[in-house]
Amino acid sequence: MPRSATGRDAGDRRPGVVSALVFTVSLAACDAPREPVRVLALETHLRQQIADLESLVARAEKGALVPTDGLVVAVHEDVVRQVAQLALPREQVVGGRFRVRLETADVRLRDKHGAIRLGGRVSRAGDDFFDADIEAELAVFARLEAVAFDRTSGMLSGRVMPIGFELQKLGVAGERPLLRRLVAGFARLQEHVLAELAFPLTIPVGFESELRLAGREEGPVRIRPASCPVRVTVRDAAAHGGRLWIVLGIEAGPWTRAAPPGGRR
Amino acid sequence: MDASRAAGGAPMSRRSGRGRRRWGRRIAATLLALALGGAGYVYWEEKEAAAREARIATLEATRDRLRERLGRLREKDPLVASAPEAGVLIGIGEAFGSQLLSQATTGFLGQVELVLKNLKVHKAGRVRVKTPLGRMTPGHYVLDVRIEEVRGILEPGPVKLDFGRGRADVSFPVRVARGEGRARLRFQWDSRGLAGAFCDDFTVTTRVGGHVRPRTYPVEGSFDLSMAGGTLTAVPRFPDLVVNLEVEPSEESWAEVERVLGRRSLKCRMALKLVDVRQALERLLDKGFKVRVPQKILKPVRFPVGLRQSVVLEGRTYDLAVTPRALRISPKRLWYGADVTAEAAGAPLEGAVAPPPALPATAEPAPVPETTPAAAPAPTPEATAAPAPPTGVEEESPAPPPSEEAGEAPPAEPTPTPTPPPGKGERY
Repeated sequence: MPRSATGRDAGDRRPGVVSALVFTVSLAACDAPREPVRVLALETHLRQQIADLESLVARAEKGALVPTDGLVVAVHEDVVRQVAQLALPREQVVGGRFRVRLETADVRLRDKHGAIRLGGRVSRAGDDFFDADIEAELAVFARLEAVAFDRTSGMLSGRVMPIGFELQKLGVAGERPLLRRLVAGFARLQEHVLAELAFPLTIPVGFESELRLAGREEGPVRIRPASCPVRVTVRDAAAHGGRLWIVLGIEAGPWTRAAPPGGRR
Repeated sequence: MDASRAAGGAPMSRRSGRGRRRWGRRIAATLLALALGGAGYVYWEEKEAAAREARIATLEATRDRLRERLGRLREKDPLVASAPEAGVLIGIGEAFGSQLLSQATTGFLGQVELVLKNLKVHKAGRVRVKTPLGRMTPGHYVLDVRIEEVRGILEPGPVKLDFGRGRADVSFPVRVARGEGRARLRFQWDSRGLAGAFCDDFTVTTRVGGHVRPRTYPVEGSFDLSMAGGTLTAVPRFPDLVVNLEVEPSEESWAEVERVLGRRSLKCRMALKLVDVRQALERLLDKGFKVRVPQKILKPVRFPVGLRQSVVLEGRTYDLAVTPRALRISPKRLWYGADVTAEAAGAPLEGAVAPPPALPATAEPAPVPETTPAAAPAPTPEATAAPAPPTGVEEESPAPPPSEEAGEAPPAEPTPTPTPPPGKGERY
């Protein structure tokens, strides 16, 4: 995940106490910063990316980047972006104090978990007119996680999980002290609060839950109504080469007699 | 006063001055410590930031190298290279595809039951014997068998499947595994000449039952693979399967036939030995009854995984435009896919599949046999190829071809002879 050009990282931890404290002190000592403020565990994130890439390289060296058998679904990053965009704009209050509105999504599928950048704005929640117009541009960095088969919808699903954020274009609008309070407060958000911004993602690939055979009870060739359950499991999901590769296990069978004629389609 | 002021004031002033200086030094020391601490903190911060920057730069360089390496390995990966361009791709491994098609095919055929009703076979002959006076004809016989019902269950065997050039070639055995039948047998004896003095004309009827003889048939065909609505469909191309149901009467049935004929007089029984009813009946039934299983009862098989034309996100349904894009069969994998666009909600792009109003709640059936009766298999007893009659018996009239059209259950024809109630086989 690229860092901003100004590269003002607020510590190398997830949005935590020390980074937030340092950032708050800097805000208190100076004016509201005009440069982007990033709260992201960049070092941790990079280490995770490297570990993910190493596992993918090891698989590729064995010729097992994509398994030779079974079922594979490959979703282009542009489709993931479009589906993520369907869930936008979304507005929600996080930490009980900040109203976050996410409007755009950009997706890169390179390093196993991929990188998702959600663009939007953050402002104070509540009904105070003086605070209402104070907002900062926000970029939330997220990863695609928990790819699984959703039995309810019969489709594949994942979860956009935020791991950090960046406040941009500070000090260009609104009262600076108010903006300073907004930025300082938002920067203090803990990881679990940031997780409130997570949202589900549905991949438009569906599975039948069973094969069905309608019966035929007339004529010399008769067919007994039967059904065969289909079980789907996600064995692996990895982003590389601009696609999300999902390896699935499907087991079908055995065939069993279906409900009597009244119950069949 | 002055002296006392001078005596008492000087020490106080000195003390006060020393106290101020002491405080001043403390404050100065504190400020110095703070300044040093601040400077140290800033220095430490700068140093730490520089070290962090260096670590991050190293990590980024490592990551970029790994990305490049992965990119090179991806280019060499035959499976990744074989994947066509499409927004969403579904790749099916050869073994998995074979297993799925096998399961669909065998599962389907395993549910098929062949049922034939009201079939009639007929055999008649003239019995001739050599006597010192020359050849004599003691009588005529007529053997009518009305198969009330015969059922056979199909059991498909393991499927061999080869992908290639837009289709999958399939071969597998199908076995008529088991089944049973029941029939009404009518034997009519018409004495001729002097024989009439020994044995009266008579007609006997009895019920016989038996099982279907197991037999295996090879099946060869193919599935044409195509994409429809974001789902891979395998359209079967198989010739009609002609199955011969051969009924083998049970030992109980033979015993019943013997019992019924055994009630005749001794002279009659001697005449009947010349006919050998059992052998005649066996030859009739050995020909079997053909049933044609039309290929059209095998319906297209939809693979149970496909692109959906809508998605549900947090309770809301969004339409998608799905434009089928690719179907590629490589030696190891079958790829199919489509481009998906979410912008065209409710108004699919040109050539795109029209989105449904809502997400399908349940899976559609994959192999769907037609629900209306298909054109009928033909029960065709092979009467023309009747074997030579037994010694002393001449074939007079072969069994007539079946009047039923293939697959249509023929109406029950009235039997020439009133049938006895169950348990009373003999009419006269």
